[in-house]
Amino acid sequence: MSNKLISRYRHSFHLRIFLAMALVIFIFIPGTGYIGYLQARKVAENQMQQFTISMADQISKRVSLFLAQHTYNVKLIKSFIENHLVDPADKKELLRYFTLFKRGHPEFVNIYYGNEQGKFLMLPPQIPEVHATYDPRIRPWYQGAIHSTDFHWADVYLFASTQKPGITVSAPIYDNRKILQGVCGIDIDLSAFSRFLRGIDIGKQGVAYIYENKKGYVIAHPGLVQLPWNLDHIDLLRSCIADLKHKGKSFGMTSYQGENYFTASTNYPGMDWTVGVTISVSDYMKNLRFIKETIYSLVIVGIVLSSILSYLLAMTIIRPLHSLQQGIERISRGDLDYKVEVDDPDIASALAGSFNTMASSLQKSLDELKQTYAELAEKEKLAAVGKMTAGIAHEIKNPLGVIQGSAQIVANRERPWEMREKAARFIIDEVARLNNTLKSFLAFARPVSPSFQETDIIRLLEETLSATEERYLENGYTILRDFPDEAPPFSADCDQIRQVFWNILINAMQSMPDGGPITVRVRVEQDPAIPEQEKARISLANPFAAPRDWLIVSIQDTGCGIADEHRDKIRDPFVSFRDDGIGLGLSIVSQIVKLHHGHIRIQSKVGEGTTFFLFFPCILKERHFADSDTDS
Amino acid sequence: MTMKNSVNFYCRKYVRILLAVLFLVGLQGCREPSTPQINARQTLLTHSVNGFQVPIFPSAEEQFNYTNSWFEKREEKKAALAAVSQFFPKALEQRGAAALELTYMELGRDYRQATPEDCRKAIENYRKIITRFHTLPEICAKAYWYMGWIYCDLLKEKEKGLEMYRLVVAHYPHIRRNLTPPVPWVTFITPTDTNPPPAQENANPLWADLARIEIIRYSDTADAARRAFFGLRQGNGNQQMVGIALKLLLHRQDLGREAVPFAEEYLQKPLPNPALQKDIRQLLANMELTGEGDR
Repeated sequence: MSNKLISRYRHSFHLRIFLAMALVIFIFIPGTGYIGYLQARKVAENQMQQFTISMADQISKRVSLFLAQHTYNVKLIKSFIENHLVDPADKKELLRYFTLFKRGHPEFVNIYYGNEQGKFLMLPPQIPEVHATYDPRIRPWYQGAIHSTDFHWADVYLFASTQKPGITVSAPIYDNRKILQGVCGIDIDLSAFSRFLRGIDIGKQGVAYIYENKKGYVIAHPGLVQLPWNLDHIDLLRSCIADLKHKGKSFGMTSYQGENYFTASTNYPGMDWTVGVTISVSDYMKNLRFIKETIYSLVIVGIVLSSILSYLLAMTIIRPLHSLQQGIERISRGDLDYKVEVDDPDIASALAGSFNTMASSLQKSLDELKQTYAELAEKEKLAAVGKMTAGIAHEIKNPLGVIQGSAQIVANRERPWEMREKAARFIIDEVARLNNTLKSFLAFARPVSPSFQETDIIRLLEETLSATEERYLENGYTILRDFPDEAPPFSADCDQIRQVFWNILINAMQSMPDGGPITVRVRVEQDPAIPEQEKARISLANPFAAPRDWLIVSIQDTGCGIADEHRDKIRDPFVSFRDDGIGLGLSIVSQIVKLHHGHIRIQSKVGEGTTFFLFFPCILKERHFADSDTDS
Repeated sequence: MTMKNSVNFYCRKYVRILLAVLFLVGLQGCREPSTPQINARQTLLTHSVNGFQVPIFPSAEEQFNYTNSWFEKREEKKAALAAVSQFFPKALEQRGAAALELTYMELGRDYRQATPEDCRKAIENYRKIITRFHTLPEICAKAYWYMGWIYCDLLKEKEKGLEMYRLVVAHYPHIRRNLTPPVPWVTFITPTDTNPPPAQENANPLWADLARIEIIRYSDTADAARRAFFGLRQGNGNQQMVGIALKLLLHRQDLGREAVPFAEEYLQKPLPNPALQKDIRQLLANMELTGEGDR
């Protein structure tokens, strides 16, 4: 499967271009998206830290403002009484003043005045059973005020009933002689802080609050406004700030119940309060999740759209090339009238135009070539007919002369009987010779198509040589064999190959009239030394597509040899350098070898002898093994 | 096939479907992440009482304690008090306490501004409460004391008030004033290892002692005041109450000198209220000066 894909990849220019573009896209777009996400995350974390720290500072400033406002309020009451604008001894007047003062200040829980005699007046009034035994002089707000001489903030406490955090600011009141007359005070509901904190948007799990350090009362917390509804996160800040204090920091990452929080705290000066802001990291980063999901979506959309565009772009590149390829194929098949149509304003269109021009030129050249070839073929045909006619006339003329003379002798009754009988035998011999000559003509002029079969060259040679040996050994010829034990099979028509060997052997013997050795060798080579032009000439479909063995049969004599000027002509028909030859033997050999997809090489030296090399392609090994398997 | 035709080919059905899917994916990605909205109010059921949504607590005690919350409107607090009887009709103690609180609220935001009609209406309500919850001494003691306080302090009808105080002393000598119960969620905002807030210190005297203080304050007869003082002194020994009683006695013309040895004895003890101690010393000193003058 993978090999198929790799093969498809290698053979598909389109796929390669598309994959190259897609690879760039797959690296570039997600890389850009991821870097963008990391930068956004870093910015978000920095923002979270700055936001948290600045939020704690804002809350501290708000607390300062709140406390300053109420310090001013209690000082106002103090100045009214000290400047005799209100008489503290007049209960009704003082109550009226308190009522007016309280109006517009919902955070004022109680406004009161206690004097050195233990008298106490409060708006709204205390419940009667408490008022009956209440002594203001022992209360912390009173004691604190007379020791401060100016104003005093009491410790945070919880109102007995509501359990809401409260704080009292009080101020001592002196007469003209600077003798203490009493203390006025305001109980302030600190829920205003909680309402303020509730208005701050720091996420659902984030929380800002204030607590006092002595007793750990929660002074302000968004949940206090909603009590009893919302009781979440009461202990969160305490835990986070304790963690920070343990680390010796005023802000940083802390964890609570397995969740990470960023906490910033600041000590409110003079009140021993801690203002803290804790933000859930995951809660804060939820906003970033939106960015992340958007980036992921855009990356996916970008990749897919870019892939589609890459595909289409690859198509725009490939399509003209594909059209050109189709044109080349059509023209290769001979359809030179085919025109490539490429609707592209760029180089592809110019390429297609050039291609079409080339096709037109090819068409014109081909037409000229065809005409020339036809003319040449006609001339060659006439020359061949002439040559053949001359050869036939030459071969027939002498026997006919002999036959004519002999026939005249036979017809003359005056001649002796022996002479007439001898003349009759001449006639018979010459007719037989004519018959053989005509057979050779027919074999050359109308060769029989070979009937191929798997053939063992050694066995075929042995059969041929055995028949030859019996006939010529008595004439002084010796056949020397140099065969391997076995040779790969090759496709051959046995009769035709036998004729090839026979003709070459006859030539060898005729070149040695006094007898001599004839050496026959068989070799097997995978890459024989055949010239490339010779290889190209071999009319085998593609014998060199795969490595194959070649059979090389050499027949060597020690005869007179062939002169160099004759070597190239000896395979031409009707060319013979002997008196009794008709010049068709080697032409037929050459024709048969060619029909067997083989090759002939002649090596000769005058006076030393001639060697014929016959090259035959063996059957391909794979096919041979397959056949063997089938046979087995 | 021309280039234009090829593009058209690739823009056909499947490409359109793919683009539609991609659009939906992008739309999904660009959507705000949904976060669950948890309404904390859903943790407590509510019920409408007098037009206000009042939460329903698991117990009558928590239901009553809730009435001590900070309400912006007095009517809302009244609704919360009424809800105690409505939600827990069998919880007599809490119903009685709620009835007492409702009656006190009848006097208005500031009882010092209450009209005589308001006061009499309140007294009438306290009588009904005593009748209805006569089996609960804590309720009855407080109701009698408040009746005495309204008579003496608001209506200036001392005799009727003293009668109520005497009833408290006589019938409820050991009933303590309950501390103002905190709201149900107090433990959530108060650290467990801290002391109770200052407002709750020494705030649970006997109703009888509180009545004796008032008897000493308002009684015209020395005998009634004397008996009240002795009753207070022999009682639980709350030094703050005894000191207040002594201060009141020292102010009286008829019992001032009789109280001097008790005051001197009182000053010998370690006292929690130096201001009160100072007052008594000052009164003793003034009496000494007055006595020398008389002599």
